[in-house]
Amino acid sequence: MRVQLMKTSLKQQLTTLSAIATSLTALPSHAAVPQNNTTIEVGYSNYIEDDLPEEKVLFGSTSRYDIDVSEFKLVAPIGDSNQLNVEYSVDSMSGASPWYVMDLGDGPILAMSGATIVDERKDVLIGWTHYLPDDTLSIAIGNSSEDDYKANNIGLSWQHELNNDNTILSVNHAVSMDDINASDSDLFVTRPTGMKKRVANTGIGITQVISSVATMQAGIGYESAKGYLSDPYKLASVDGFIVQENRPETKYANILTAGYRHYFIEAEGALQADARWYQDSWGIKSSTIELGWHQSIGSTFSLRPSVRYYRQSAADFFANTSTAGSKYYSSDSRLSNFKGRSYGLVVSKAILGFVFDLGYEKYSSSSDTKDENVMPLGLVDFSLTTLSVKFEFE
Amino acid sequence: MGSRCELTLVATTTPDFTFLCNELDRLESKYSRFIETSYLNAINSAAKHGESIALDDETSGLIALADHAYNLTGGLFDITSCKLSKIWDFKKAIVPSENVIQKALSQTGWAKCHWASPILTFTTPNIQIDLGGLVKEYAADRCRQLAIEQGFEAGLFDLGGDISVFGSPPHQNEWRIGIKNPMKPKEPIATITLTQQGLSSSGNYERFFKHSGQHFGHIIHPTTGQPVMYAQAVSVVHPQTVIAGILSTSAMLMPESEAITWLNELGVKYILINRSGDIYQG
Repeated sequence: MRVQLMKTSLKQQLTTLSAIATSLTALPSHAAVPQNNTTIEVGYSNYIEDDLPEEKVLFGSTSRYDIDVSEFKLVAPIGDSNQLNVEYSVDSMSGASPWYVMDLGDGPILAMSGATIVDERKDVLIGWTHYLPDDTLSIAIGNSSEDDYKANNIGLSWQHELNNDNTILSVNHAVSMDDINASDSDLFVTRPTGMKKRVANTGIGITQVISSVATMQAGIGYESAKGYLSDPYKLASVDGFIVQENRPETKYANILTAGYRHYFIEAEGALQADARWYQDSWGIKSSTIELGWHQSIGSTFSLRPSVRYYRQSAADFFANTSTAGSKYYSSDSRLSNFKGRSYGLVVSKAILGFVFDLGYEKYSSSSDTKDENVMPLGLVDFSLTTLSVKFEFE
Repeated sequence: MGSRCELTLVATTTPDFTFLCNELDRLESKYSRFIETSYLNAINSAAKHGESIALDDETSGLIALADHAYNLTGGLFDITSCKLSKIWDFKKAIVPSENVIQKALSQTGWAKCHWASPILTFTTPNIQIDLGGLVKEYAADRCRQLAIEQGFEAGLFDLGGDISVFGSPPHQNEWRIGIKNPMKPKEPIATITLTQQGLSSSGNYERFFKHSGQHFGHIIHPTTGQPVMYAQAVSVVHPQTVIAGILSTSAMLMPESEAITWLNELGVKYILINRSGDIYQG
């Protein structure tokens, strides 16, 4: 029994306990009674894509995107049963991007844009949550704006607790309506303007407490996208002609998710395991597995290492070069057969009421494809560094 | 505070007790499980989903106390064990099934919470916190602190048997407090003298029931979910009533000899009455 093991330091511990009680009792008598706390979080992250090897690039820059993101989040309880969420972020992007793939007889080679892309995206999200004894209702409205792309979105969700709060059912629906007006369309006449896209997501989920130290989650989702779904800046090689890429104007996807959390009492750490399966009408099937470990060290310090593995099959119409008989064509590597791995670590430290998080993630991707025409040339490797600080006040 | 409170101040004119009543009201509205809008219930609503919550200074202090008390007592003093008490119905004399006990145990255990002041994280959903084992004693200490700050020379604050005193009563050197006789609760079995100290008493003789020939006391062990019937009563004296409360509650959860050894090693003043009515003092 722990009581026996700790006998030697009993008096010392009692002294510590007394010191805490003494300082606690001496708190000012006008100490407020905070019923609600407001949380503010500010963060900065830097996303850097690795340069492409020169032998893969026909012309253009081998440097890729470098994105700085500044974020602000506010969570403010309103009264006893409502909560306001406000999120605002600014992304500053610069660098180059794969433009198209062509084959000059020595196999496919990548044409990159010049390193001149500079853009800024502003994203704002306002959410309202209403709490009932066994139900939670939320609505969130967002707007994303950059020079060539504007999106308005709305999301609704409902959560219901039952089975003595050991089971949580959730339903959510979100719609995004986007306007696309490609930059420099006067210089590049094939670049589209005035295009629209509409994406809707619906999902249901269940969270179940399965033991004193474990929970599991499962979810099923459906996504439909309609409108201009191509990338306005990507070109494709069709019978040797370089033309605007052309993807289907509809896409339907089914998504399954599963998660498991297990707390190990002796280790004072928690395992987090998540999986996701995705299949869409373009022929892409993907699966993701992520494992994380949350380790507490002392009372104010924690480490969260994680590893993620991802693989996907190619879209039916993905090819480095296409023929005139093809209805759809794209050489965008994001639509290819590839697999990705990432490793991350977040270090968290609480100091004087502030909680600081410093994170780093390294992602790399590759493809086993042997067929040159469907071998992706523009796969991305990146590193992501994040720093955030959060604090609460009455 | 859910129990009878007696406030005594020694003064040359009739004292105004409003400042003490306000403080007791403040603590009750903040930490009562039975007041829907209490801060404690706000914490417990975060606990429902296994979330994190940042606590104010006062609550952080109480949680830090509970955290140290959990370690000091080898897990016997556990502010998450309220679900275990709920499943034992002493009015109807119902013994819960093993399944019910196991389920309550699955939602019990301070080790399932992560405390990094001021952030409290519930790593398992549906843990519930009850500060009932701390707040009444803490309130007695707060009354003493405020009365001293107000310039009073002496006082006694009895919050349902948890007593904090300072100074001395008129014409005496110390406060004399009678300890109840478990066999005859209206008669004192011993007397303890206090100066600037706190006294907390825990007993297992006032609330129990008999089922299939077995006695079930109202003190529930936090790791087995079963009632324990070791000592009949333990009273502990400590400069802080809140500490006295932690020690007396925890001693009730230990076998008699272990409790006596433990209290002796801590070097605190105590009175333990075993099931035969024998008195042990330290």
